[in-house]
Amino acid sequence: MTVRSKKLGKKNTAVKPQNKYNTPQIRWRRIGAKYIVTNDFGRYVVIGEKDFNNLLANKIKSDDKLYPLLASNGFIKNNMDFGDLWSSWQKLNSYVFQGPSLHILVLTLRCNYKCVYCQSGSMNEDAKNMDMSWETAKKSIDTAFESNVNNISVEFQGGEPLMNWDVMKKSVKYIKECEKKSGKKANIALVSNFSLMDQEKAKFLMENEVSLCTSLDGFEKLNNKLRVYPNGNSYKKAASWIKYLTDKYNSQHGNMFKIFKPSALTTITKETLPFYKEIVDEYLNLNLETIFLRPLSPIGFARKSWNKIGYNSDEFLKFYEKAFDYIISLNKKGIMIKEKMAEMLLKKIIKNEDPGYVDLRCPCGAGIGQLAYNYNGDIYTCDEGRMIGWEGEELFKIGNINDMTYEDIINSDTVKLCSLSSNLESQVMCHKCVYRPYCGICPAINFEEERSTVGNNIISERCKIFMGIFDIIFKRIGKKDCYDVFNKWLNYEEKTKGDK
Amino acid sequence: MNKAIDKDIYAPEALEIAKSIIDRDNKINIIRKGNKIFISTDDDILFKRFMNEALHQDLRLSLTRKNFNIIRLITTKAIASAIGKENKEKKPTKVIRRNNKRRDKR
Repeated sequence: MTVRSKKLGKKNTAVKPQNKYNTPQIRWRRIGAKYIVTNDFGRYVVIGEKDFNNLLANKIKSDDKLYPLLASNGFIKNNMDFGDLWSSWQKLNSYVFQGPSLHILVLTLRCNYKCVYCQSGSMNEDAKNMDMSWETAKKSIDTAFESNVNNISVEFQGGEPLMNWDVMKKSVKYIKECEKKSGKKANIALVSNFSLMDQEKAKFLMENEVSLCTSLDGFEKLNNKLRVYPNGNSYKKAASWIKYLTDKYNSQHGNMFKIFKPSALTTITKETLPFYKEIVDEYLNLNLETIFLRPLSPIGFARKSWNKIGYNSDEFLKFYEKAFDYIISLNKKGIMIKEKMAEMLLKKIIKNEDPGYVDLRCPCGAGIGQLAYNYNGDIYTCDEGRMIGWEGEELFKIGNINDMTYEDIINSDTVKLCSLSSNLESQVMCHKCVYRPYCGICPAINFEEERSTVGNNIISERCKIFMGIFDIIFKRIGKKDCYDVFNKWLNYEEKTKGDK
Repeated sequence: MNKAIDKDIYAPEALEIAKSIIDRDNKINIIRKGNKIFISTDDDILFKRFMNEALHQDLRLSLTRKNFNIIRLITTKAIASAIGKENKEKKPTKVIRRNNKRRDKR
């Protein structure tokens, strides 16, 4: 063992920061003629080869043009403002200082759709004993309000959550009561296919400031092929309610309550890949300002039918790059449309702020950033963990709401397992990766792909996809016209928040 | 097929973890004879996959040992913050401050 440790020790020294050059700990990656350099504080610079070599060789002098930029971002060892850099790290990793903010309530497993990629383990609409009872919902909400965080988000999911409308209605009212009692703020969200939405339900949801989100995979023919609604047209259902809710959002002046703009999620399948332009145009037609180009996760039905609907990372990244460039070109023409994934990553990269995306964190948000409450009261570290549980593997199940206190949940072995196995400092590829300050791994996806919560990023398709998306963003971040678009996205979010 | 393993490269723990990940059908046997470790299997492809995974696990274990302090610090901080113990411990301090303020006003 002694020989072994010595061998590895020498290897590690060779890739350590070269102290003789007096350069602080940095990570880098070459893309084309440029070098991306980042540090632990989440700061970055994109520089040419000559400057990069000078940085490594400590040849950047204080009268050099690049010196102020490098010094202010913590890349010059003799000139580091630790107060500023520490505050930057804290902002970027603010989730480490608080409890789970996202609480997902699976109101029912019943669903009236038969989506080809369904990842949520839904059952037929006439299945029995698949709805969450009011007692379970109440206990789940009580637990959510015990979280050590001032702003919580309660998300109603399914199946199709509107199939358990009575419990949902009671839950929304109860959340409002809890808000008053606890002094905490709760954002309520509903993820629905809108097929069971009606004027009365919409009115109740708007009056109670519930934000509404649906799934829309593109134009009518494509959407209906992927999101199969045996009793009707899934596109028409989603589109008509998006229009209705957008109209209400636009004409809400003078209301006592705040109406949120509806949003939609896209799931990218093999069928979708050729239609990057058409999908973006469809979102624009419906006045949606954000499109979330989410890669498919190999969970649930999606895993079983992967050969039909799945793709590899290269195929997805080609699609993403084309769609991303198209979105940027529209923005340059003055048309506002944002890509959600890029927006969240840019918030981390440019603003050094945590966008609240629980999937890309170190440690990941499982249990400490989010909790999923199943219809029967079972608690999971995350929604992905719940879906894996539905397939028969209960590794991510923490326990049942009836038997556990909030402290038991967070202190459980399951939460500790996820926190430890998603720590990037123990990941062979990640701890030296240039994108490490902005990235994270998902124990649930690792388990699904490789039967190990730790995973192996050398072969992980998820890692390749995120690495590719980061590359696509960083290739453009140095270009002024693209950077202006990115800044517009980030400031636009602030403006709209201000309006609210 | 029986292959001897260089213990200087592959830690026994890494071999065990690799087996638990790769060998779902129990086709690989890890045999210890004195100071030596042998891997016994008839599946050549599985053996190669196993050795790759063992190398990955060995690197990961070394890295975890090296970065243990920072891993422990971040994980403990995240879980303690989630429970909210830190805030609960701070509460008495706040009460004292309030009392002090009241005294000042008087």
